[in-house]
Amino acid sequence: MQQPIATALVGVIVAISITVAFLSRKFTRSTAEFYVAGRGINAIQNALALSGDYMSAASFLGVAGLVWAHGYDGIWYAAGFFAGWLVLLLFLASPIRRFGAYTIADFVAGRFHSRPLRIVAMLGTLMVSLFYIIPQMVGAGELLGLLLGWEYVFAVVIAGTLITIYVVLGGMRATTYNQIIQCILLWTAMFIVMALALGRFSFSYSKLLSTVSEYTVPGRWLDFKNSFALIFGLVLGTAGLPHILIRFYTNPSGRSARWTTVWTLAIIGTFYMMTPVVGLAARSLLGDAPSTTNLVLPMLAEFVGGEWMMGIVIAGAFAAILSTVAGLVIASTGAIAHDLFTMIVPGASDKRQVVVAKLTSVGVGIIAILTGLVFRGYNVAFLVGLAFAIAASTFFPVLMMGVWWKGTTEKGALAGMLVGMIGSGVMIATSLLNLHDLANPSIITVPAAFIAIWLVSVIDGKTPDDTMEFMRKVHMPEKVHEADSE
Amino acid sequence: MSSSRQKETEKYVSKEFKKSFSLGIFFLFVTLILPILNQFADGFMLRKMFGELSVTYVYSVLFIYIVAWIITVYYVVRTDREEEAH
Repeated sequence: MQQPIATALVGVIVAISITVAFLSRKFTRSTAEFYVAGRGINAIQNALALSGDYMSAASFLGVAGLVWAHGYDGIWYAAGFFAGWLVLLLFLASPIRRFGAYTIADFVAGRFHSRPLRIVAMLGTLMVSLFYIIPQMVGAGELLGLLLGWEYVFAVVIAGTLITIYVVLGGMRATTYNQIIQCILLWTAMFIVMALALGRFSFSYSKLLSTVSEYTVPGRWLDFKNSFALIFGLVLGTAGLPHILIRFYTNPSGRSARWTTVWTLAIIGTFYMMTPVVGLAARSLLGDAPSTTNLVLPMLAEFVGGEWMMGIVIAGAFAAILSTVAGLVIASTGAIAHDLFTMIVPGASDKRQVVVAKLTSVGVGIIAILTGLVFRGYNVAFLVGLAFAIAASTFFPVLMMGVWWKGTTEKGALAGMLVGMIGSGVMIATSLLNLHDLANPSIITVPAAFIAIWLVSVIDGKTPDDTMEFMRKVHMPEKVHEADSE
Repeated sequence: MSSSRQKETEKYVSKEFKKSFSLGIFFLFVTLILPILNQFADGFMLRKMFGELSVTYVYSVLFIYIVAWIITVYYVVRTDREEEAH
């Protein structure tokens, strides 16, 4: 299927992305600029960037597709993806920003002064990011191939190369500005499709539902146990995603980090509220016509708005993939070039670290392209679920306990991270072997990780000497720190 | 760290935790009770509320979002005030 309008719009996005990166290139001369945009991104800018970072192709195309396929049960995904942000706001956003580092491994290692913890956190970041990058790249290849007639390999290489260029050229600042533009594009595309689709039902939600009433009741797809497990995993997984957590470092203060989350909740909340309308309208207007869930939104767009609307949606999907993968490339680059490199070469100059970061970004970009090619045909939704499960199990318990319980020890944190990481891996592997039918293992592995941290910490009892200094730094308002230093 | 600063920090962290924990538990309850109600109170949850919109549908596409936004604004405004007053 050739789409000249969509191809032209994708071309415009490519041109904008490269221009933004080119204009931001002077802002990558220090590690603080490259990784956290000099901590100068205000709350609304960061909220738009975070929303662009978070709303991947899985959100843009996947949720509406799942609602089209499974009705009410698909709505669990929208609610779960959204609800996790409140957990992030209440427990982690402000403390993470106040710590003021570059990566999640920095935070964990800074809390417990532990080299093994830094290594495990680095490995966890890479695992989660990789499992998140793969479905985005596979999605890019399949989607652009299907909708624009591009060869799969060509589409993956184009997407991967573009992202790598703008991350290397402009670092976090270019990534942020591109994510802002991409967020506005994909939110607007979803809104227009929703409005046009609802117009077919005289703008009556009730009238729309009356045409698909059998799809508005729970239980078509997920049973009670799996509904519960899925929403549990999605809520806690959001609060453990490294590429989301590191964006809070770009805020100037803890207060700004909190307001960032408020705006993000407004943007993504309104976005996810639109997805059930779009999914059910597609069910009503298109019936069983779409061959896969990923095609539901573009097909509905064409049905209600013609070729132009379909072009906008395809451009929106491309933007969703770019913004998410760019965030993941920055997170992975931080894990390798910052966490690992500074451990191997402790006294490296800032300039050298930036060079290493840029080279690493190129390496991560190449890996993203290769994984996209190797994992062609793999189930995209399964891989995203895997990333959420590992994030929820590996990072959420240790961050929560490290931030809020002064009794947490290095050994306890290490035990919790290993239980979470290995446990989620084992649960996923055994699920693939049909040894159990749990849709999301977090409901078992997250409590297991919490228990491991608590139990080992109580037995160990050796809390770091500066625990209270850490607590004061991450919890108390900035003005208290200013008074402390006077 | 001096004992007065330590006490001040402990008191502040404890107060912050109580606030975050109570709001967090309330929101998790609001979210996780939905599958439980769908399973054990399906008659009520499938009752039509507005036209064709059932209780469970309104709950999942509207109520959860509104509760989250109210909690968010309440938490952020209250925390800002507390930090300014500290």
